Amino acid sequence: MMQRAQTTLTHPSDPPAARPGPKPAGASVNSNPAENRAAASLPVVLPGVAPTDVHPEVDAETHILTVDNFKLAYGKRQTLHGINMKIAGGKVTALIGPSGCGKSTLLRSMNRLNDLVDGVKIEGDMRFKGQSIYDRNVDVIDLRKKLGMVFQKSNPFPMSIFENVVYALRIAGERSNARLDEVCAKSLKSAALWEEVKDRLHSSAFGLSGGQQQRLCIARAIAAEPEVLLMDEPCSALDPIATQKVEELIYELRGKYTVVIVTHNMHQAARCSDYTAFMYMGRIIEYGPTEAIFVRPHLKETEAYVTGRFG
Amino acid sequence: MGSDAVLGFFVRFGAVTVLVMMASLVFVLFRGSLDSMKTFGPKFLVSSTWRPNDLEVTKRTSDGKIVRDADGDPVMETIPAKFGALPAIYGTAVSSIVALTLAVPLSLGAALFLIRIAPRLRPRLPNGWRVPIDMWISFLIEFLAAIPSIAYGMWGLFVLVPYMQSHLEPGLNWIFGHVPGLGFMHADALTGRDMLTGSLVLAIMIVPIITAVSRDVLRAVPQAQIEGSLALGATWWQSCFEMLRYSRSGLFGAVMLGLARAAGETMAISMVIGNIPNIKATPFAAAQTMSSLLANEVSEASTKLHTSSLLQVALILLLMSLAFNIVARKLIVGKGGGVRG
Ligand SMILES: Nc1ncnc2c1ncn2[C@@H]1O[C@H](COP(=O)(O)OP(=O)(O)OP(=O)(O)O)[C@@H](O)[C@H]1O
Ligand SMILES: [Mg+2]
Repeated sequence: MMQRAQTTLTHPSDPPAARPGPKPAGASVNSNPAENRAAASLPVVLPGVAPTDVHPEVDAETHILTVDNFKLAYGKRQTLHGINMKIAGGKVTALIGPSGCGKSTLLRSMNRLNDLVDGVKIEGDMRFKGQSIYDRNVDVIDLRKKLGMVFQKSNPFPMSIFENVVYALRIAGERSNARLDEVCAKSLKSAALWEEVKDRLHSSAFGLSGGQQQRLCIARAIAAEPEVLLMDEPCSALDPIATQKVEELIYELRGKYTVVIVTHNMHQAARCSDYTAFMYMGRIIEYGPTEAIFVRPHLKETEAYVTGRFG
Repeated sequence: MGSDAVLGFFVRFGAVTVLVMMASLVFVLFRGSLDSMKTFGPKFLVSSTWRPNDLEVTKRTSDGKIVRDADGDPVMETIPAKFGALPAIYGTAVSSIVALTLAVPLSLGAALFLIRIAPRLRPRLPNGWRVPIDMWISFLIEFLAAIPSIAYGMWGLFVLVPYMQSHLEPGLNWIFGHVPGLGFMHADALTGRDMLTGSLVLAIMIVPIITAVSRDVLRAVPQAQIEGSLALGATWWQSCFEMLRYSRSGLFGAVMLGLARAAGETMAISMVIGNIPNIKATPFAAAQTMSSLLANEVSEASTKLHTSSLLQVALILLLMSLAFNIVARKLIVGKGGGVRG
């Protein structure tokens, strides 16, 4: 397996100008030994050459978010190579792939958090309900309210539980206490945390357990009434019981929200997503209904990854 | 038995030496001020008379008539020297608080700039190098913090005082004279060597230290906190505010360090504050701080009581600075930016 990989791999980080399309085999030589080693475990093909294998079910959905030939480089390091992806509204879409393949980068690009990083270069665009995300005139603040984000490590603010949940309303200038109370209760209930914290809403959020803190962060994101929830490995720091709660929650959120979730946990992707995209080295290799990706993927590399043979 | 034991000895010796020095300092000041404590008691803290020499005055009756002896000459009496620290304590408190009020917003702004803007403003030279202006500014700020205070004092005396006297103070004084309600701050004469100039020099001197410490405190704010607020639709300013809130106790420590420096500052302030034990509402009156009082009088104190009173002022100053520093350390180091876990 290893030997085969080395003979057939194409260098995935070609210059940004590289166009998709066939290339003479062996035309590019992997010059970076570190990447070479990382890549060596992928048993097959040329990720840059083949277009993304998109299953027809994906195209049949109504899409809320589209990614159009999106490229991103951190300085000289090309991280996303022309991503094309359509995300179904009201469904849960999982992004899977080996570490460093660009899942977080793609997710963070969706609400323009990568703008903050020094030296980022972006080409291509994304559209949210038909509206460009990267257009010059876009109100980023408004966009981020519509695309909420939950981070890998829970990041409650140093305030009370209540203030954490209503943060988005506070910064938007909401004054009415009745409204704040109502949103707080509703969001905590949606995040399956209400019963556990309703008696101590005004104590510090740092007093909660890790799992509770993560659900608090979900509640906080929900309180902003987003349309899309972007979740970057929301369970990676949680124990199995807390993980199960968050997964059930994601299942509940389906329909009300569009969820895009990055996960390293194959079972999690299989359990709680409708669609799954497999990423590798800054490209989407295969994208289709979760069941198809896990049970009968079209490509060998997808199969190899989901069955745990590499990555 | 080896280098470990030797090192251990030196470390312990050093720690003990510091403690002994500290304790002997407090002890000497305390013993020296016993005279003054016995003579004035707690009144020392609230009396505003500071008269180092005995006074010979004509004796008067209670209705103000001069008492005369058989020959018709006025009878003289001696009023003993009297010491009260209130004007100096007041001067230290007011100048430090005004200095903080001016310096804190400026320093926090500068620290935020250094953390959130300057690193991205690295202009590229034609040959591809980037100019790390954030590092240059940081270096300059640390340099400013290390300038000897006599230099600030001379600058204050030769540049700031004339400028204040001829430009800023006349304008402010006009406002105080014409805006109803501010009249109490109006002054009849402007010298430029007064409470306002003193506070300003202090403010300039403490900006570097507050900036440098808050910069380090703000740098420790996790990126996740900033991104967390931005992802919820916070504006850039709101996310800055979030950083300040997250590190509030560390920032408070930075402010306390600035306060300790302002309260203890001697050289510069004694050159520009005028050194008169005044308690006046106008910022244009000469004033005195505990440290400027000491700087001016320690070398010429002639009586035992005078020396003892000065030592008591020094003791008060020492204890105050000690308290500020302890609180500041606790806030910066002890709680590491204000969050448990
Ligand atoms: N702020 C950054 N500056 C420079 N390079 C970055 C930055 N963030 C990510 N990268 C690089 O971009 C590549 C993709 O990173 P990304 O975090 O998107 O991967 P990932 O798929 O989320 O990995 P993981 O599963 O480990 O979270 C990595 O090689 C990483 O080193
Ligand atoms: Mg990631």
